[in-house]
Amino acid sequence: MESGLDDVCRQVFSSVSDIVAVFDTDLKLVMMNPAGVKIVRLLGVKRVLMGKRLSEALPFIPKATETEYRKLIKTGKSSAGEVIYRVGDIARTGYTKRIPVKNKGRVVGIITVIQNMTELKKKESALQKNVRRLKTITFFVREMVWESDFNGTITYVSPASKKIMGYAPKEIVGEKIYSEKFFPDNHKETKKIIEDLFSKRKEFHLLRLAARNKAGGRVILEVNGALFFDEEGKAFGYIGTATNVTERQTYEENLKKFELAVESASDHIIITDPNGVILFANKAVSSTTGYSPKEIIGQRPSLWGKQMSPEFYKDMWRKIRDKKEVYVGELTNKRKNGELYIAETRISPVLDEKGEIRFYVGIERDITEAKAIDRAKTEFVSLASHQLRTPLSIIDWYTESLLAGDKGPLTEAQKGYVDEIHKSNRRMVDLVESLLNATRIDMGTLVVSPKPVSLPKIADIALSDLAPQIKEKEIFVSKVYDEIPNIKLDPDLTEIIFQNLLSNAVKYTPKNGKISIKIRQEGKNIVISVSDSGIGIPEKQQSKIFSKLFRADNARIVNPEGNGLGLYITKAVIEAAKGTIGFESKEGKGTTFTVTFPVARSRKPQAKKIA
Amino acid sequence: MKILIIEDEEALARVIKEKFDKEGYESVIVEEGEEALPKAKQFKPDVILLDLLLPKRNGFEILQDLKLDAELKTAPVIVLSNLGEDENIKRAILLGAADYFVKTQHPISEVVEKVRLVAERGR
Repeated sequence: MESGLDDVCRQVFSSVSDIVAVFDTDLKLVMMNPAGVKIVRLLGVKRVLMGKRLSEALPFIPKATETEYRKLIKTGKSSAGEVIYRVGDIARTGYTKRIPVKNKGRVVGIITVIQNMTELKKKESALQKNVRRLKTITFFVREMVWESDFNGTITYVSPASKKIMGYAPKEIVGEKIYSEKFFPDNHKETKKIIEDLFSKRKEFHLLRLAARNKAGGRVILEVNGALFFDEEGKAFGYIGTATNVTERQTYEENLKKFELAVESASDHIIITDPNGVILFANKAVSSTTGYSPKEIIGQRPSLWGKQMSPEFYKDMWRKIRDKKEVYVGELTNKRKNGELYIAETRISPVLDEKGEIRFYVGIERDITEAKAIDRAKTEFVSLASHQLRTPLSIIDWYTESLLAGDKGPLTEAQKGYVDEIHKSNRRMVDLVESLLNATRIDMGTLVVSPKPVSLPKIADIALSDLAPQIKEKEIFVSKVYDEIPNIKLDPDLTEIIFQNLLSNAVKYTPKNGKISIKIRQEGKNIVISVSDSGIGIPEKQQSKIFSKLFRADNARIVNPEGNGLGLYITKAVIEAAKGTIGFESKEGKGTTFTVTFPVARSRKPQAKKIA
Repeated sequence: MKILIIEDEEALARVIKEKFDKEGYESVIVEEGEEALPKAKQFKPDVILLDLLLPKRNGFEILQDLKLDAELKTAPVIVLSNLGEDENIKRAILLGAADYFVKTQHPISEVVEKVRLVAERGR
């Protein structure tokens, strides 16, 4: 029985793959199993000799282990632990079990078993490394890493949440993904999206959600999610990332807006390469050219152009290609159906950083109709001036002739009637003249031909024209003319200015009122002021006083016949001469209009002094 | 004093003529642009009143012809027109018109007065 057990022991001893070594109390090697010898040899010990001390028999074991052995001899208690031992440059991990061999209660030796754990240890440390790596990544990446169960309750979120949403992870964990806290504007819609998605139990990508951060700011999240499995391979929730794409979304939205704006602009817009080959055409090109954007792309603008002279196009190219300047002009083009049209055209070269032409942007507006309207307007002006003036002159001169008694004396009553006709006709004449002036201003055809004029002289002419009304209303007129140089202004237009300002002053000043005209020089300006003690301009209507056809309420009552064109024309005429007009007025007290013209710099050559 | 009235608008021409009659001036009306020059040659006016918008031959052309005619070029021409644009006035003055009236801008008495002044100056 004893020997049987011994046999079994021997067999076990020789068959185990770990190192099994027996030491005596002097820590000298008593025996070692064959596998142990093999391993020890592999570890660099050339000969394993019985009787060698521990440090020599197993030289790779750290010195500190010896104390462990001694402790064991004293206490008789077995111990175990990990031992890291070095062989050359390679660190290995062993699991050591040290068992005392006792005889009658006394420790007589030690059995030590060293298990090789290197591979196991390697796997474990790799796992730990992965965990650490993952932790580091989730900590540092800009994306929020999140986990949730299938109900949408967030079970984990990485610290990036603070940066992206303004919430610390602990403020988020436990909330629903679609919580109103994150989606105050669109909670319901978001809830539906998430629930629908989660119910499919599939991974999802690039889901855009518009959230609000802790401060209430808009945050667009791009969310990805994958199923999260437990150890048994059962899906129990989602793990994913959420990226802040607010800026990208804003950029994309702006780009989209821009694209839409260009695409749906009412003006025809094309983009060409530096050679004029069309790369882009918006929808409006079909209303101008008659060709669809598809038909145009890849072609050149000559598809619908070529109606102008070759020199014209040469000049145009010189400007946009050689000078790299913007071309603006009116071109006649030809639609697909052969119809000609006039296009207000603007071609802008788009340059790169080096100043080379990258593209041309061409914008066209069909102004054929506008041109026709313009022509009709011009014709109207001509019609008004030439056709209306004849009958007006006839009425004017015939009534004048009757009033002069050319056809025999009139009774007082007849005279009164004819006088009314004559006066009304004069009003009509004035109205036609004013309308003509207004039309010229609107059309920009007001011809200004400046020559040196004497402002006091023109003021006096206008005053003398008004003499009958001034006399009738017994208005006191004061004139203060400083000695001023003649300035270059259009005499006819200057007359219009004085006529309007002075006749207004007379019209809106009651009997026995006062009017004063001052013409003076102030530095480089000539300042004309016309004051009256008239009805004034209501404060609320002062801003509209220069508008076409506008008449102040009190002016309508005092003079129902005015046409609302006088000040409009006056202002336009003054501005055409580079002057300015302003006024100060108090209702019931009076008005002062102030007109300022710059004095043109003196061209007089300065006499040179010779020293 | 003899005045040639070149004016296609009959009513206007008549009222002007009546005014001249009253002043004791001898005046003749021409309504067609073409007839203006032959009539002027025959009538030998002291002053010519000239409308610019006329059928067949316009006033500018007539003015040019008058100023090129050895006999007629000394007769002062007063333009009486509906055209009020600066460029027309300038053109007429450059072609030798003595004065320019835009019809609606002046009472007839002023026109008559002007004719009298111009004629007296011419003497």
